[in-house]
Amino acid sequence: MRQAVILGLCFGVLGAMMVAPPLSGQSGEIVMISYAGPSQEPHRFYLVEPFQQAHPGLTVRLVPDEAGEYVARVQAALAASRPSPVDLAPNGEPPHLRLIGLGLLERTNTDLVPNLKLAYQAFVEKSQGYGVPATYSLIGIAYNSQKVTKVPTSWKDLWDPAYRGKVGLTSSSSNLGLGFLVAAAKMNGGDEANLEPAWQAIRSLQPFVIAPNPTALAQLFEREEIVIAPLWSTDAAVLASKGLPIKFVKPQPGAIAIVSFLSIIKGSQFTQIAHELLNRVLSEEYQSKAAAKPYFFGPTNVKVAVPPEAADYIPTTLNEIRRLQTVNWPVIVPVRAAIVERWNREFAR
Amino acid sequence: MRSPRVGTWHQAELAAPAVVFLIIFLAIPLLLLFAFGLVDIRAARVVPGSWTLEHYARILGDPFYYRIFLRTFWMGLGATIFCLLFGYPVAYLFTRVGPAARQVLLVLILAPLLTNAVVRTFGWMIILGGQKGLINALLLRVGLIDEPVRILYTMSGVLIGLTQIQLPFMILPVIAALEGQDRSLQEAAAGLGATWAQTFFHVVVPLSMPGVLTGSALVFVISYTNFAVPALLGGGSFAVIPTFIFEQISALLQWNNGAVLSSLLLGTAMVMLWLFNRASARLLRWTR
Repeated sequence: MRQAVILGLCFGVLGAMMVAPPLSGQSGEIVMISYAGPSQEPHRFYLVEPFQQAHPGLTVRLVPDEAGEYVARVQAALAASRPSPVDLAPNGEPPHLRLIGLGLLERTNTDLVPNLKLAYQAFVEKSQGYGVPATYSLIGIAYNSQKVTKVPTSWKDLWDPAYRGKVGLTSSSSNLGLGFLVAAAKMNGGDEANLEPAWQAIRSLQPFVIAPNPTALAQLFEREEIVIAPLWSTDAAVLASKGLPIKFVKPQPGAIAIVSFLSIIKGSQFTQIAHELLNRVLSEEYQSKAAAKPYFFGPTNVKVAVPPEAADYIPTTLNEIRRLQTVNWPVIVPVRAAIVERWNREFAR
Repeated sequence: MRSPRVGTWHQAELAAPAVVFLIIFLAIPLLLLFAFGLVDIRAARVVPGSWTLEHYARILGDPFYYRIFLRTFWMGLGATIFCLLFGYPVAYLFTRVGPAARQVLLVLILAPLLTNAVVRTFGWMIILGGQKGLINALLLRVGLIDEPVRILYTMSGVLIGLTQIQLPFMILPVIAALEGQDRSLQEAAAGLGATWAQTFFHVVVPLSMPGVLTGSALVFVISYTNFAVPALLGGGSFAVIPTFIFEQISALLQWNNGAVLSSLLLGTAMVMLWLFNRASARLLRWTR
């Protein structure tokens, strides 16, 4: 009898653990993916805080994730017919297209996002009706101005023998690595469909230091493990604002611009209210704060002017905007897994 | 007097919650993990009726994965050897000092277990990293090196991190084995004219082998399957199976590859534990 009671209790507790509803969704907590480090601050101070003040019952939890690690969790939850553990996420254009393909993004209800009318229409078109174009950043070259005396002007300068062993890269599983791969291909006679020249060029760049993600790459500058690297304009700006001798250049034939879309994730239980966050991210207030020192996120709202001190990080003139490289991502995204596998086989130690 | 059968049943009753817990949260998930390598998974959903050996065949037929498994093995073995080299003297010292010193030593030995492994690994990133890292600064200062050496993002860095984190798992079993020794055996050796070194290598070390082997098995398996240390100290291209599984699932959504590699990692770890046991039995035959 006693055994039966004990066994029954065990199963009872375990059963209760398994049927208990997940906390998110019930507690009024919206989970939003964000950047790591100080780049997260615009989300926290100018998006989440005013939103929470306007909605006292709701909280927004920001989760740093740069490699799209949340996607696997969302996929698993949806496959098990559970609500998504993530409600909103910013995605650069490559993962944005990938998530649309996987059916993991919620279509934007434009009626709930009046600020969409203020966004650059070219960016809005790129969103394909999912999420909103929140900001854009550039992939250029960051360098330590105390160690690199000749100011780099071209992507080719990364191959300068003076920096051998002091060049930092990230794997092509990140947008940064993927963007650099395409830049390297184009510079050597290839393009999005022909990446072979890029592989050869990067092989000849060895030995280089490979960081697991862009934030870790930026940290390598702090410790002087590297002196030059392809880097996000925003990460370079944050390093410079810490007083480090890090400078950013938009190299020839052009820096790569990548738009970041803030989207609602399929299976979110907050789709209606989350549209308000999409609207707020496009607001002049948020856009001007995110474009200001020290973040320098490129504004997507036509009414927000780029501040003069952002000139090193964001294009300020029409001519500069014309010089930016854009990547034909729809060609790259379907073969992304194969690219990452190739990267591992080429460079995994 | 109670019959032994009643005693056994009472013990079984006490173990019931743990057994049920292990079946539900360990055995079934492990079987599922193994099975996920034998079916096609699309968008995290198992395609019904898609039983196939293709995923296992693809990975087992690819020399690339053998290289990564071999690296993972060296990582585990390296950490085990270093833990033994650094851990044994500490354990020996522990058995030779007075009660007050023991207290201090015990705190020092256990201190690494009091903080999270990830936090400690971040500490190592600062110590090992670059020109500004503590180690390079020190070596440069005393003139041992002219140029900073790269430790972060290398196998050396990973082994340093693993060794520090796993040391208690080596030291504690060795202490237990050394404490269990009959001191009169050492006195007898000394009385028969053995030097300190002879006594140590012919009496103390052989008698402590059960502890050494337990500690080695523990450290090897924990290091062989470790994720956090190689992920943080190994850098972006440090390929060992645990970091590779993470990338396959979280960055590439290749659930099949992740399941096959996880099963193989678990399987090979079990095989190595079994080999360890066989070797121990052989090495310790004289103790019976």
